[in-house]
Amino acid sequence: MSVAESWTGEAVAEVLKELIGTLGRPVALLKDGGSALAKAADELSAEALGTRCLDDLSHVAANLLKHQYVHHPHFDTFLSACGQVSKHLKQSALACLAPPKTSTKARFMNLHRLVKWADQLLQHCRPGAARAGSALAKLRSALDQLPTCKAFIGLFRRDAETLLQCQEVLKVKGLSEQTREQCHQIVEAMPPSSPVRRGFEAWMAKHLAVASELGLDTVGLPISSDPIESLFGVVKQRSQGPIKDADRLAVYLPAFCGQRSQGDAAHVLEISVAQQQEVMGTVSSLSKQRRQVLPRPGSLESLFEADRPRHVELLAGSKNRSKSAIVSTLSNGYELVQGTCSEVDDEGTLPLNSVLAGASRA
Amino acid sequence: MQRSLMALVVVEITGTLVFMLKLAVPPPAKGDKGGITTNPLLATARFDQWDPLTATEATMLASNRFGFHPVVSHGLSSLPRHAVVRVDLPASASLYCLASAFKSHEEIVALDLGCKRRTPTAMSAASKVKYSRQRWKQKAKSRADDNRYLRKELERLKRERDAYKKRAKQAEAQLRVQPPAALRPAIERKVDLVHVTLELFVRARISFRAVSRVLGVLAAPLGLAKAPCPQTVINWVTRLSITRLQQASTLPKNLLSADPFANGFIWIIDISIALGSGKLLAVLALDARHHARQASAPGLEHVHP
Repeated sequence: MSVAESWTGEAVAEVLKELIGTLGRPVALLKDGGSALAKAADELSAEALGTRCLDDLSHVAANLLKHQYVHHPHFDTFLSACGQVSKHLKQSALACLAPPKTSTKARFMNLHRLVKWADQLLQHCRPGAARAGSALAKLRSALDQLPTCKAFIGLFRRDAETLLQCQEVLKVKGLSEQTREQCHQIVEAMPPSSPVRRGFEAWMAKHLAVASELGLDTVGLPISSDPIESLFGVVKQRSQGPIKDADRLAVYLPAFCGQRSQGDAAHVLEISVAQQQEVMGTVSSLSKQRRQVLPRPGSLESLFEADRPRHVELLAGSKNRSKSAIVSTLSNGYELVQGTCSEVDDEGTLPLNSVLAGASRA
Repeated sequence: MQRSLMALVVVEITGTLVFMLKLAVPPPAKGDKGGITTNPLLATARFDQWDPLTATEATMLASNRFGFHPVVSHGLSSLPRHAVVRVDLPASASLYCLASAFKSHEEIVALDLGCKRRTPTAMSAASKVKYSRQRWKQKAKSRADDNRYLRKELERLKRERDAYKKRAKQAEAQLRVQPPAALRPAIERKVDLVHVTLELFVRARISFRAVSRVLGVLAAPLGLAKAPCPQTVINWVTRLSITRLQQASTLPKNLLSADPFANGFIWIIDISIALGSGKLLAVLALDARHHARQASAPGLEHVHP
């Protein structure tokens, strides 16, 4: 976990290189569609530390829907109508029919909830006359322009629900030959020419090739970054105080990972105050800054002083590799290591990876 | 001794029916002067019921179950005493019934079928003795059975009582050695308290202050002298984070045969924003063979910082 003012591709690559130096090279990097992360992966590849890149399934599905429907003529009308319907229904006897709350950020990841609601609401408005003052008449008056978006609602719901079914299969079982077949059957609900279907099938083919390369095409390749998204959500919800600053979040993030045991509790008691201060002592939380600045007029400049505390940086292992209990050797690709192995005679100095490679050759 | 009646009746036997005639004066108290005999002892009976050697008194007094009433015609009652009635029988008839002499008309009539005639009084005494002896034997046997059952029950109860007493003594001895679990605090060591606290925060997902409040409420049942304050909970969670990071370098590596140079983990990378100028970069490690080991989607418990 590391906090910085901004994260460029180079900055991310630096952090990853540091981690690779301590923990070894990962099998693959699983990331969302962020450009900084993609650039970081390119940076690593340029330095012969590259590895495979996997695109998160949820983001891929959301992007497919976005590219297909964001320019749909009824998309903006639909969003506007949902807002109007919400305004009309929330303070009325029909409040139970109000639309669900959806985030405007990453809108296409949860837009299917809104579309499903709209479709269900329109089912109540059967054709025909409604008695004046009846519930149906009140509902019709509150629907604004929603009925005009019926075509958009039907198409979007078909594609979104198909992709959701595929996601459920792939997230639970991973991407394998078997799950790809299941998904092929599910996406039959979409026409073959649908860009959403073609994009999804292309993503499956690309990542199944990676799974085959890793020998995971039978057991399933993890292709979902839901754990990290969930981690951010949980920590933001459960962190200390109403002010959620990134530094404090970073401190609590590792505590939510993994399973806890009595041994972990014993380790907690072994951590000294000095060790804790080493991590937390220099961190300046927003709450602390608020207490220091708000009641003291004229102290605003202290927020921009050069010697103000740095951000949190909690990286696994020590920065000084000689202090680390386990030192992994960086491998610059199979060919380079193979050459090194043939030149080195003393097996005791061989890196762990090289010994394994030699054993496999033997 | 005056014999009130002596009659010899020759009865015609047809099939299995025996007709007996009582040629006696009906009892004045019960009977009709008209002469209908009602004394059941004089009623018809099977001949074996009257054998003093084989039949008991009760059998003698029982009904003959032949289904007809021992009634004779009125006409017969008018016969004079000591009269002899002879009935002509065909040659095939072989049954003769003898009506012996009685002291009174209430005495038992013994019928014998071709057997030696016995005196009713001698047979009755032997029967009584035998009957009494049999009853005594039955009572003694029944009493012995009861005694045997009760003796066994007593032995069983004694055995059970001894076993219970033994167990009670053992339990008392154990209680003297160590106090009962109910009196022992549920959380004896500080490690347990830290573990419960971390579980409440991380798994139950309640806030720092809520953890402190919950432990305060449960302090007495858990045996806590004092619940940890919110700052203590914050410190423990922070130290758990430090522990997690220290453990990251010692994670067991499951190398993939297809890529032996890699550490066997897929790194999940993401950047998140929060309040303030800082942006958070997080890297989590997930076992590449997760789906081979777990039947569920990867969760927070499956990733490592």
